[in-house]
Amino acid sequence: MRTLLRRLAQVIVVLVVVTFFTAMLTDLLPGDPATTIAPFATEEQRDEIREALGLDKSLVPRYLDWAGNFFTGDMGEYYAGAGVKGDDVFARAKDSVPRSLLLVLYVQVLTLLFAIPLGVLTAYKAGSTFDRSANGIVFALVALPTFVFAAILKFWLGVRLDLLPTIGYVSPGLSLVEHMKTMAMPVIVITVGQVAIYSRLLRSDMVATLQEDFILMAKAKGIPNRRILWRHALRPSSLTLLTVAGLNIGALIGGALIVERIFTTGGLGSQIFDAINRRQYVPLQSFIAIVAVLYVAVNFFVDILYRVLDPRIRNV
Amino acid sequence: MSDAAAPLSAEPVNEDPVVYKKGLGITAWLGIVWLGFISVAAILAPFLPLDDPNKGIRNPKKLSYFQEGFIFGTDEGGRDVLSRVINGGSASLTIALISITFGTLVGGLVGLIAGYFGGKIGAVLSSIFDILLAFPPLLLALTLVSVLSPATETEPPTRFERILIVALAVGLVSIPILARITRANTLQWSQREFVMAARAQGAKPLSVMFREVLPNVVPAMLSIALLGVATVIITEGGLALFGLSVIPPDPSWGSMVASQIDDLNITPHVWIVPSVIIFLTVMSLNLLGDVVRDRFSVREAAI
Amino acid sequence: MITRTRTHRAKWIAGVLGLSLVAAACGGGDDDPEPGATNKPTVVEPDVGNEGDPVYGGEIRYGLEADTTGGYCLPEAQLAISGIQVARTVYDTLTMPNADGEITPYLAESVESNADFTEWTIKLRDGITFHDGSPLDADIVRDNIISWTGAYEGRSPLLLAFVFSNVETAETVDPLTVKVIAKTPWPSFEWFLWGSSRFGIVGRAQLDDPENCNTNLIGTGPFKFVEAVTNQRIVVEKNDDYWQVDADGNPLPYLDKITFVPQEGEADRLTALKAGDLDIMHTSSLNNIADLRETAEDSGLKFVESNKFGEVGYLLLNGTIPPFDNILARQAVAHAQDRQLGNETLSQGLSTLAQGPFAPGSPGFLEDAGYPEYDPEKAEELVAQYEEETGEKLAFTYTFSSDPEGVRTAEFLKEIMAEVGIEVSLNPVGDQSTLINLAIGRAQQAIGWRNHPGGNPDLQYVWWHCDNDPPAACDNPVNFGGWNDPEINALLEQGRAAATAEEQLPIYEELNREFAKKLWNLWSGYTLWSIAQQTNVNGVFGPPLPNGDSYSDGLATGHPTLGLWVAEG
Repeated sequence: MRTLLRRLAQVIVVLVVVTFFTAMLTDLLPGDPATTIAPFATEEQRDEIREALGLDKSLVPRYLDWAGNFFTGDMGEYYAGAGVKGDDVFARAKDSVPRSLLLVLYVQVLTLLFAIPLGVLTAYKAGSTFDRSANGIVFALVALPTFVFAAILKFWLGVRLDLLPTIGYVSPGLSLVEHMKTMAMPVIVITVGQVAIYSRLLRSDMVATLQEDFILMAKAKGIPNRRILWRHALRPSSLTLLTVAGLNIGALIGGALIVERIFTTGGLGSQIFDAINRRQYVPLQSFIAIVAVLYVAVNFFVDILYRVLDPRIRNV
Repeated sequence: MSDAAAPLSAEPVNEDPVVYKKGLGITAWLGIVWLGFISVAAILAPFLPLDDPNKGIRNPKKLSYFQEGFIFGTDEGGRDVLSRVINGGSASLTIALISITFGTLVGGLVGLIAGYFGGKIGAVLSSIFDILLAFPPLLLALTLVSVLSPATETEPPTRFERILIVALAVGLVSIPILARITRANTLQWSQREFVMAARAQGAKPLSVMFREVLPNVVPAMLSIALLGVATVIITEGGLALFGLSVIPPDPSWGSMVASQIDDLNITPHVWIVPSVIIFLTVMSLNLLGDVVRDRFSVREAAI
Repeated sequence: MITRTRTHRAKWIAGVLGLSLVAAACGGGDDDPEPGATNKPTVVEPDVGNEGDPVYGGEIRYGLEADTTGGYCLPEAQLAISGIQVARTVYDTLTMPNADGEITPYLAESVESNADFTEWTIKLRDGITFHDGSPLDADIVRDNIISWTGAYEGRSPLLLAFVFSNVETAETVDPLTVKVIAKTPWPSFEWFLWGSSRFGIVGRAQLDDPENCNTNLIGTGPFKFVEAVTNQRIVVEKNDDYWQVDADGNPLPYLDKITFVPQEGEADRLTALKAGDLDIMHTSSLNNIADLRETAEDSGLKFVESNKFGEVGYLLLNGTIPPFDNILARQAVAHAQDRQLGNETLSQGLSTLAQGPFAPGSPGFLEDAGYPEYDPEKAEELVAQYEEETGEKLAFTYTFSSDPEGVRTAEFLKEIMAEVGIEVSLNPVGDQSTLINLAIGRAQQAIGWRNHPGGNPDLQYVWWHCDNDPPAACDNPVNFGGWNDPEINALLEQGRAAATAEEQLPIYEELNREFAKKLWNLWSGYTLWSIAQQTNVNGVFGPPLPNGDSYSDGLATGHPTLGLWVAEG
């Protein structure tokens, strides 16, 4: 219970700092929303817009306005003009968050599915031809630029074989099959870049673990190698992998930007990018706050998992 | 090769899984040779008998490999791809080197302290990583480059300033992940018997941290840092895709690839050449990482 | 100058600006092998799987190059091509140009003026209703026009207020007649009732909706707005009570539903069309057009392309600060740009060299307006002269949108200028807001730009005319170059006052030549637009107009959707 409360306090601190830092950073960017909304206008007209939208205020009061709304459950709206109402941030978030979360979930699962066996086996056969060729293949895939790989997949799976749609997103509620079809290519494209990182990290820890006394002892006892690898060695070796997988949440959510644009699947990456470019401070801060909450929540579970996986960690 | 085909559930052959050759091995040498070659080429690029990497409008355009004396052909602007890829190496490698050194030093130190001391210091430092990590890194890097090189001024940043800005942005973004990895490993090692023993014997905390813990954490840090170089080279390409890497017409590997987004099948050699070079470089760094890590196998035996 | 026309980034900007601000198409030349035939209009129509008798029903997915971020409160909106394509599907304008470049009545039954063109009488067709069932009457049309001028309570137009600053007022004469009173004689006023299909007539419930005017779309157009999800789709469905009929008297439109899908990546959009994930799309990417020319038939696609009434790409110079406040600098750069080489290098030779702002098909268009030829020796002389006169080296900073196409344009510019000793610093801008601010701030020296789609040249008045006297910088905030040229001001005023097309023509030709002399903007090429479709999608250029003429075959301001139909099978 105390841990939970402490965590909650931590979440709020993280949120405030993250969003305030975002506000500061965007304030430093040249250009403002009023000019973006009204490029063809006189400076007086723009001043009216600034006043109507509260953009004439300086950084701190503007931030407090946002924070006051956000922490009472109002994510705000886009700046649209002097009179008209902009898009509701909550509505866009409600649309984008599931897309991003599902994408990240599929990518993580698929990546681990490939990376764990690959990491374990390459560690076991460290230095072998298998290790080296696996290494070569995964790095070749890392070096292949995302959009090149996406274009190749689109050409074959989308145009030639006509198996998968090349654009758009269907929510699982609407049609699970169509959902999987729209997500397939984006997930594959991102996964390919992740497998190398995850499997190499696991391999590196695993190689170290396999030199440990308790493994040698287990071997001496005549426990089969397979059992040693999967039962004894994997668990304590997965620490770095787990850390990175947890930390990667923020990176995957935002890093999906390129893939989201190529496949027009939408998601938080595109929303944040769009908000930065249009200097939409209110939605930007709200979206960053959402990513921060998701990120902290996931890593809270990762911390718990640490303890489960490696009982040696006591006073974290 | 038969190993590669073995199914996952196959009974491992009965041999010691952790036999290590202490020699460097041919692949490691190949890696070193490649890295040496590409670094020397990048450094010496201005003195090599190459065409100007930024000139080409009077040349034949879109030549493929080995046409009219251009080993890697020319791009859509008629520029020599060989010259661009070698000159681009200096930008890409400088960015990678600066950002990862920066990230590893800062992130490593902070992570070590956070992991070893735990308690309040650890909690505060962890919160800071959390804060930085909660930002999607690509977006943060994009914003940082924009903020650090204000385009409002009629005087755009110079070539080197921009490389520094990109390196700094990417380096900043890589700090928290390096710090977290170091912290996680430090936590693990701090609880080990030999560290406890050193403490019990009354060794100073700092000396335990640097003498007993750090050497054991280095392998994991190093492997993540070397993967980090790969990530940085790729991230630079991501920045280039949004026009926020080196200032054109100066080349970098990432921007050479990114410039081809709409021409993938028209001039494939222009993206294939830098992609292959990125691959070889990333690969070599990794092989080198394996070797360094093996040599570092400190472990309990060191006590 | 220099380059190809479009870019991902630029498209986005276009969405904001309502015009296309881009790496201007440099390209000179033409795909026409005939020497000297560099400025011909081209309209290429499809000849595969074409037409037949229209069939009712079906739905299509239409790929757009960007979403429209500011919404569709037309008096306030700043629509780029994608927004215009949607707007002309949901709304109708009072007038519409035909294929001969004349303006014809559309939603209006007739538009007539008094003898000195200061009073315009708009008669509306009887029995037309908006999508919400309310009638199209004189009151709502009057209020729409007043809202464009900025005098309507609750609406705050931006660009339109400049465009319609010459309107004194509008009043109702009878339930179907509106009278518009202009401040000065305005013979081309009819063209402004079309305004590149941006000035559709909005229903009362939308116009008077204080907060949701941008999202509550109510028009009289062939399709009714259903829903819009930002960056994903805009869905419209058939308006069963639409007022137009086809040549055989059958009701329009034919389709049941159109889903507009924004996909900013040009190559990605074409891939989606080839994969059958889209049925039709627009593009001005010369890569795409080259690809279509080569592969359309094999991919089961057909396409039309046209540069008629197109926008012109150009290097927008800042005439208020050095070096381009000095004509020697402008001339030097103009003579130094090898536009032909630029076209080959950057535009696959597909761009059409521009001599002036008016595209083929527009009045004022000239095969040769006297725009400077590529002449490096002359350029070098001018550079020397400039340096002698000012004591400064001729150098400038080029600010551009840093997407792949923008970058190539910039690189070409830098290289070609270096050949005559002009040093160009490149200032890539990664994000749209910054670029917009730079463009508006008049702090930059040169920017890549694209604007001025065709139609009556008087439509361009707003972009160039200054009300204050030279040599002070222009007081018109949308003259981004800031220059204030007495001859150009005078010609724009004369052109506006000219009573007939015959009188207008020499004035705008003179304006064209004046631009070629003064070089405030350095023209590159006219935009080539293409609509690509699955072979079973027909009717891109629409049925006949209400008066029996054909729709314009220019594509720079979209095309009608009421005639689209899908063949069975």
